[in-house]
Amino acid sequence: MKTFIITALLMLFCLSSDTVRAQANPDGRQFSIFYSYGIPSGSFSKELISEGSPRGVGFELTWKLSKQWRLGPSFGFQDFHQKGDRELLKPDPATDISAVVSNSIQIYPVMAKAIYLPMAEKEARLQPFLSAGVGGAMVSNRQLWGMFDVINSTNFSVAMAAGAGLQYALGSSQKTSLFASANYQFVPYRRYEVSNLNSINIQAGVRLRLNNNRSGDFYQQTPSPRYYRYDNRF
Amino acid sequence: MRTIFLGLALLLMASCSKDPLESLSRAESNVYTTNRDTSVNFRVYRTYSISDSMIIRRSDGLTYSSTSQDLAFINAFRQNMQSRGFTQVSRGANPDLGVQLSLIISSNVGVIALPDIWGGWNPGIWGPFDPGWGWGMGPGWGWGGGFATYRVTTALMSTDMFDLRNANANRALRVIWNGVIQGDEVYEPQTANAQISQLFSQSPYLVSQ
Repeated sequence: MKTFIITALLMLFCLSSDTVRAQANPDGRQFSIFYSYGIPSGSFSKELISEGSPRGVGFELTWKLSKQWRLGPSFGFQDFHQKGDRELLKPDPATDISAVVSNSIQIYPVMAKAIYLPMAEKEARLQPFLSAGVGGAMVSNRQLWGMFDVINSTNFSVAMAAGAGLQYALGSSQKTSLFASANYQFVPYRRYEVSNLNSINIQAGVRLRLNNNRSGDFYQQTPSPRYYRYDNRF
Repeated sequence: MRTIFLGLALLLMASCSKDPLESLSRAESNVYTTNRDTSVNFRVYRTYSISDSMIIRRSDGLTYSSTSQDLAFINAFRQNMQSRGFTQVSRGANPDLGVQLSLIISSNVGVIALPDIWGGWNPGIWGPFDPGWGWGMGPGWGWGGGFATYRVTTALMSTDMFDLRNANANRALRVIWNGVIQGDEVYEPQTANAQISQLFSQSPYLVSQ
């Protein structure tokens, strides 16, 4: 079921991205893949998992809307896990339960993401950028007392993210760039006495330009290859 | 194509998540539950009698067992009762409390299909598993492959304390304290003392005088 929902969401966002593509420069596609280190914050950190998660990755596929703006779907995965000490739990006055409580949370955010490059006009290799995303997240929540599942559920939650970072273009063609960023991810998941699953995600990865021309991240005022093909017939 | 790629990538990522069960040691997998009759003041009880055998309860009935494994738990219980000020007496000496330890074993049986690649027989499945706990698998035969039955066996240990002092007045044998151990490490004699001691440590009210 989880696989089906994830695949369905992916298809939905890939289809919706066609609308963006129709309005954007077809030469401006960019694929990003990144590693993510997640740090729980707020009540997520205080009530559930305080340890950071080194198990996270993500993908983005963006289209250029202008020199400074990019838009497209973003997909991610972050696995939070923490095994606590043995605790004494008291569900009622007559009962005491001693168990090692483990919490395991997996978050799969799927968002429409906008990236803004304020200094894109300068065509420098090093570019700061801001990003914002809105969408949803599949949240898999599991709590164990010893070896026994007390909570084991998968739910959908709204998700938003905002961040800032730097990217550095490599080579003469500048088709590839490295980037690093810090993002705050807001997931208002409210179940099982959890009020949110917000986290700070430190991300680092690679951006690859998918088109073959040399325009890189910069908007071209040239016709698309489709028109070239049409003209060549005559 | 892009959708398939991304879907596969996400599934791959999900498979990289940490399994919480794998990070638990056998001792950490255990859950200790104690229940008490909150109307009872345990300080009024002085003496107790404990059965010298463990009840082994299965779906097809119960038996009594007095192996060294069973005695390890019974002796651990004796030591903890003594440390809390209770005195062991014989059954005929009108003890205030009666104690019985039980092991409750349940098995779930199912059938799975085996693909032809197994050849209908895999001695490796028989080999590494303890026949008492965990998985046991027996082969079956069918066209193009086969089937197998599996059995998952789980066990829990229950320690029950009865009020013998007021049994006549109550006209009933009431359980006034109960401790249950569930997990991977149940019924292992080398950790018997640690397991029984955990039940007592979370029951500080279990004191005589």
